[in-house]
Amino acid sequence: MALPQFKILGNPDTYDEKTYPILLGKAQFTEDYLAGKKLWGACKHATIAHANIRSIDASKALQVPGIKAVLTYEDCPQIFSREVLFWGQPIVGIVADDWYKAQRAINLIDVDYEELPAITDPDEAFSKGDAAPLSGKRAESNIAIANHDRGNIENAVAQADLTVSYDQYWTTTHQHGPIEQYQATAYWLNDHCYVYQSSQACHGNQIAVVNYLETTANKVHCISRHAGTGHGARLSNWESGVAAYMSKAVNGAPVHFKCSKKHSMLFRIRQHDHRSKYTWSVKNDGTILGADVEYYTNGTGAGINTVFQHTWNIPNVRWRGKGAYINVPDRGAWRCVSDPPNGVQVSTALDKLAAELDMNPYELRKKNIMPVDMPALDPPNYYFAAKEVNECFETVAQESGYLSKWHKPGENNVMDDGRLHGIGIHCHHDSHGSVAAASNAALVLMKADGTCVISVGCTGIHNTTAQSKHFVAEVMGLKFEHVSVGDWANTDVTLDTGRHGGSTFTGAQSTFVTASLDARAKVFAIALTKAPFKDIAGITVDDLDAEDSEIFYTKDPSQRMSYRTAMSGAPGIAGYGIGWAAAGGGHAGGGLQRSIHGLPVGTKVNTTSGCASVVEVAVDPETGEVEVLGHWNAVGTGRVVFRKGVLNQIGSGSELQICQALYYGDVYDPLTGAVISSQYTEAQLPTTLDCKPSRHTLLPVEGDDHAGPLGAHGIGEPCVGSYACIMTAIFNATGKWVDTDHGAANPDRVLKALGKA
Amino acid sequence: MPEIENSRVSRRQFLKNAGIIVGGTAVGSSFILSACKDGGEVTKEVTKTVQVTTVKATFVCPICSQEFESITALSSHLESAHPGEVETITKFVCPFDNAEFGSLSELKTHIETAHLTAAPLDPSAVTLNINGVNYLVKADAHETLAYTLKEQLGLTGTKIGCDMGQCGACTVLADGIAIYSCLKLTRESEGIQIETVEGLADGHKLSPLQRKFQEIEAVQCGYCTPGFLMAAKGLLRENSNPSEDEVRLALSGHICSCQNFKKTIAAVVGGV
Amino acid sequence: MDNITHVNVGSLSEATAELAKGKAEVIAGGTDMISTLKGFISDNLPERLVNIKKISGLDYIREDGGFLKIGALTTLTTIANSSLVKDKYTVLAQAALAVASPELRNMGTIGGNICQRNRCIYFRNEHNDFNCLRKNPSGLCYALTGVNRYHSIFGAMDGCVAACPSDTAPALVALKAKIVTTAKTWESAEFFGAKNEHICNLAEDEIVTEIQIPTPASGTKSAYKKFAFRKSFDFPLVSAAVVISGSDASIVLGGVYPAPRVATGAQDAIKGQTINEPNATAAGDAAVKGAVDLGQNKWKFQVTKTMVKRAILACA
Repeated sequence: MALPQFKILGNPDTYDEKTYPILLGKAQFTEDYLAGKKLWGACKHATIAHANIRSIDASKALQVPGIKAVLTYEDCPQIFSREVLFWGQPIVGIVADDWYKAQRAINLIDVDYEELPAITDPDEAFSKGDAAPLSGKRAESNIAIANHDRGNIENAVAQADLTVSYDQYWTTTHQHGPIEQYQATAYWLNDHCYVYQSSQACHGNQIAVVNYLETTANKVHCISRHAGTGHGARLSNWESGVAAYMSKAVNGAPVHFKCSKKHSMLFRIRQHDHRSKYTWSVKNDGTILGADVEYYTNGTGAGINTVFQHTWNIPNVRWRGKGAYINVPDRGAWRCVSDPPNGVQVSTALDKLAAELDMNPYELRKKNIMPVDMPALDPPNYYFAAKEVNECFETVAQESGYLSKWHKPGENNVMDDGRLHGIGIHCHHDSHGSVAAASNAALVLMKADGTCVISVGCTGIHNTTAQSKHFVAEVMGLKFEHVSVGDWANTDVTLDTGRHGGSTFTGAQSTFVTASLDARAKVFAIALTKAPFKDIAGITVDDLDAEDSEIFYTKDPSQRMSYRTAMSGAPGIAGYGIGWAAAGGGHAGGGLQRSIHGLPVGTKVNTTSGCASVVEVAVDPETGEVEVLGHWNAVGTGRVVFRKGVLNQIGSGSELQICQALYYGDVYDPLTGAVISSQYTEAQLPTTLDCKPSRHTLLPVEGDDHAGPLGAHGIGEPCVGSYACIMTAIFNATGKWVDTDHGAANPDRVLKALGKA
Repeated sequence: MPEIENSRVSRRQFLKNAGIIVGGTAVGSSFILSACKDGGEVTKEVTKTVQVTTVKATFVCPICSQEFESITALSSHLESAHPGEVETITKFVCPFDNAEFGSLSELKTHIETAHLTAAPLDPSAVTLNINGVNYLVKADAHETLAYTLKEQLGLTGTKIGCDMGQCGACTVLADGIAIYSCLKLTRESEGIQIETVEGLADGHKLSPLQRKFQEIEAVQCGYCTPGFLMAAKGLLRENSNPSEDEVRLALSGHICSCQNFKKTIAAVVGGV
Repeated sequence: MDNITHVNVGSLSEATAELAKGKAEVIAGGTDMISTLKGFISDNLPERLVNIKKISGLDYIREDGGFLKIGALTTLTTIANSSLVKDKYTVLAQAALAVASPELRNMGTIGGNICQRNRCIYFRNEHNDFNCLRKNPSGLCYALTGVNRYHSIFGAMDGCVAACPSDTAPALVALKAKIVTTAKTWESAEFFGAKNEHICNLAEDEIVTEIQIPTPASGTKSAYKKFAFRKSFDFPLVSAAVVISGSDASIVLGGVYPAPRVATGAQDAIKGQTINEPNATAAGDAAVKGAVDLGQNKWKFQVTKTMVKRAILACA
């Protein structure tokens, strides 16, 4: 289908209909349902890093009036485990008529532990290997291996002018710290379970609950309309399972299970901390021939990542990744998955190389960035569907004035107020963009009056529901206000359109485009039976098009009828679509939709998106404080779908990386392995006084993703490179690298790097 | 609903005569959920919250005849206005039944035992003024305003975030001043004009501040939005054309975990 | 916190009588009390809250008889916005403005700010998972063998190395304030301590009623400089309250010891001198003489020097 001039996609006037009830205070989040009609559930956590539970004595708690039930591994082993694998693991559920009563009961329950040897330091796991005590998280070894080879690294070393190694620091772990704590409400009617959950993946959650309860999907009804942030880490279905079992324990009465701020901190997933050793083999002019990388993560994420793999034109790579699974809270998916810490590792290693070669980091990157029309260097060697990394890199360098502002690290950079100026640049192919979406489905329902309701089966956290509307309105040729989302993220009435948000977006795009094309064809077929079309000889469905809710004959647009007229008398039409995978295997219809790099339509391509960042900082050498003076983020957007939403995504995703870089890090008690940063005072998210919006320039780089039917693609969360830029900018300011030690570049760590602590 | 003036009827009796049930679905109060058996329905017994005008009783100072609406206010007045004279007072009159007592503490005990089932003046019966409407609720001592708003009054627009005064999701205006409702006891919320997010719009018509948020799409997940709106409203009443720095200071008691500050601040800068 | 009772009192004598019943504490702004109760952070929490907000005559700011007098129930916002305090007692206005967040300043009182419980990361851990010596006589200090990044650089006070979390406390000590209670009048330097969970040495039935600050000579300059990782919400990791009055210098540190710390060395280094960069720097250096690194907090030495220097320069 030819790429149309867009009326809806990218239109600056479109809006998100769910914003309206939020502003009115009417939007219901999980805790808002069944107000005044629910019992409350809380959890007790383990206070030991590794143990088997011998026994749990809840008798004192159960004597307190108002405590309704206590659940342990004996009641629901799917929910509470007998083996404790980290300090803070939830081990007992408490149901009460008052949440504070449930909280007080935590210390009225006695647990007898058989202590087991614990390992809480990932470096200890790496150095001791199999000699370290088994954490219990993996069957045979604490260490998961993820290796990758490209070309021949020994040849690279032999041909290089210089081979140099850099040992790198641990990046921060990052728990999202959403202000809506993790929670779910459940009740039963007969053997049907109803769950209100604050999870990104409504339908995925439902299946998980089905498995927890060992029942069938038609008996589990989930609603997940609004969720309080947590992008990537809000996939947890565990709370829903807890609530379901708690409710069952009180004969199906509604129970609202809520984690306290401390519990959300302790047992919900956080982003893995990374460190690495990069050995570059390079020519004197900066051409990198080989990268020999030892990559270490705390938990998952040790494998080669697109940030490195698809951005740099390095012919020879040896990647040895090791992930340590130890007795600390679980690591896993988080906003942007591995991209920010991967970005830090590769960018700091590149800037060290640039300093070694006395090169500008921009020039070093330009020398080695993958050219626009080069396919990926690793099998299956797909081309890229969009051209973005290079464009984003140049855009951000230009807009920020990077080249005129750059100076050698720690030289000629003292500002008038005595602070040290620094600037950093970064670019990468993001791991987001689109993923296989063959499992996603959508319905487009045309009503008898010619308006449309769509079925969106994912949470509305980041304007997702709004984006889906844009595709439908565009393809159907309807006015934006004639498409409604209606109910969403309700497993009884929606189909699984996938996880919310940027990550799966080309998938959702193809889902709604196919559903719209199906609905459109069906409505057009009805339109053909009515005047004026029925009187046009030889007319077929392919001769019709639509715009602004009017269907017209393409050869003579004056021959037209409204959608309302077309649908009048018809009971309704359902258009059904399933998504396709644009890359790899997957459903027919995937691959390139339009030609790029001279490749034919249908070619399987790599659909990652591109981005680049520049951050300018001022470092106060007398306090270690780092202020962000300027912040530029260029993100390849493909065709912009929801223009206001895109700016929200770029803005928030990049500010979040400043949080990672400068504020957040778990604080551990070294003796017990406990995460003790349980409040916002230590598990820090920045405030409005820490963020100056006017310093932040958002640069959507629009284009055409040739794998998306409408040229749109997901911009991820987005992953950008602000975190990497801050680390390299601090180096540019001071000439020193900050040992972030599993945390942020807080002032104390900056002072240490400066030799002042 | 008329106010009582020097009524000889006890407060409990008055309410009973008026057919008003005191209390709501209080956290910690005894409400029963008998859940379904096979083929049954979830049933529950709750007491309803109703809107009434404030019920007052009048305590008269025996020395200067000034009138007060509670025994506590009278006690405070005696200490500050008539120091040293309290001992000279031999008669305290109960406003409910005109019984006479020789000391303030005897009167207090009488009221507790003769007229009400609970502690002095039934402190669990609390009158709240929310968005201009009076509500009478039954609240346990530990109940916070945030919980009462959500669980008893069904005003779920106010959000509970960290529940410890470190995120701002629960901000409401109290006599025009921004406070965290999760740290405000319901029993201490009487006599205050409380404004929540539900009071901003005129029915379904957004206020200018809300419209500005909508126009620039200053909302992502929306969890922090009610708190920000109330703090912004408090600021704009005092300063109708705030600069970026003034907005950042006024909103500095709020976390946005989507980190969408840029839009939220932009929505408030320059006023509406 | 479901087991508390709540009592309204109309007078200080009624309040004192309620406190004497035991397991009782006053509630003013409630900003520390409510979150403390919700967190079940210790076994010594009150079961009876005595609401003193209905007592009239404790909310005022006025100059009287050579003193600035502030009622204990005066909110931090009121103090921060008072032109009298900003003008003549600048360090206190700046300190009040530096506390927490706007909402917490609107609710919180100066009485509460100087009587709060300490904020050590172990002490504050909910459900009392670290039952330390500040709340349990047979407990130990976890910071000494664990995380002490945020803690005292002048050693322990009564075995505790938590830093004083109050912003107004060092300002009051620098202003040589008196703290008037229902029992006595304290010199502010004696008022603060680490004997129990609170940062003050009040008896269990004693209530703060008024702050009295001797009105300084005209030409006095004062300033408060606070350092924390975030610019809102955070307690001071290091702060400096400086009052320069003629040839007198009063320099008190916050966030570096369990109580406000008078920096006598810094005072001696700057008093009587015209303020400039070199002698302000020298005073900063003198302020950390004798400081002790617990293992993770040596960085505070540098920041203390900086805060003292900058606070002095702000008085130039």
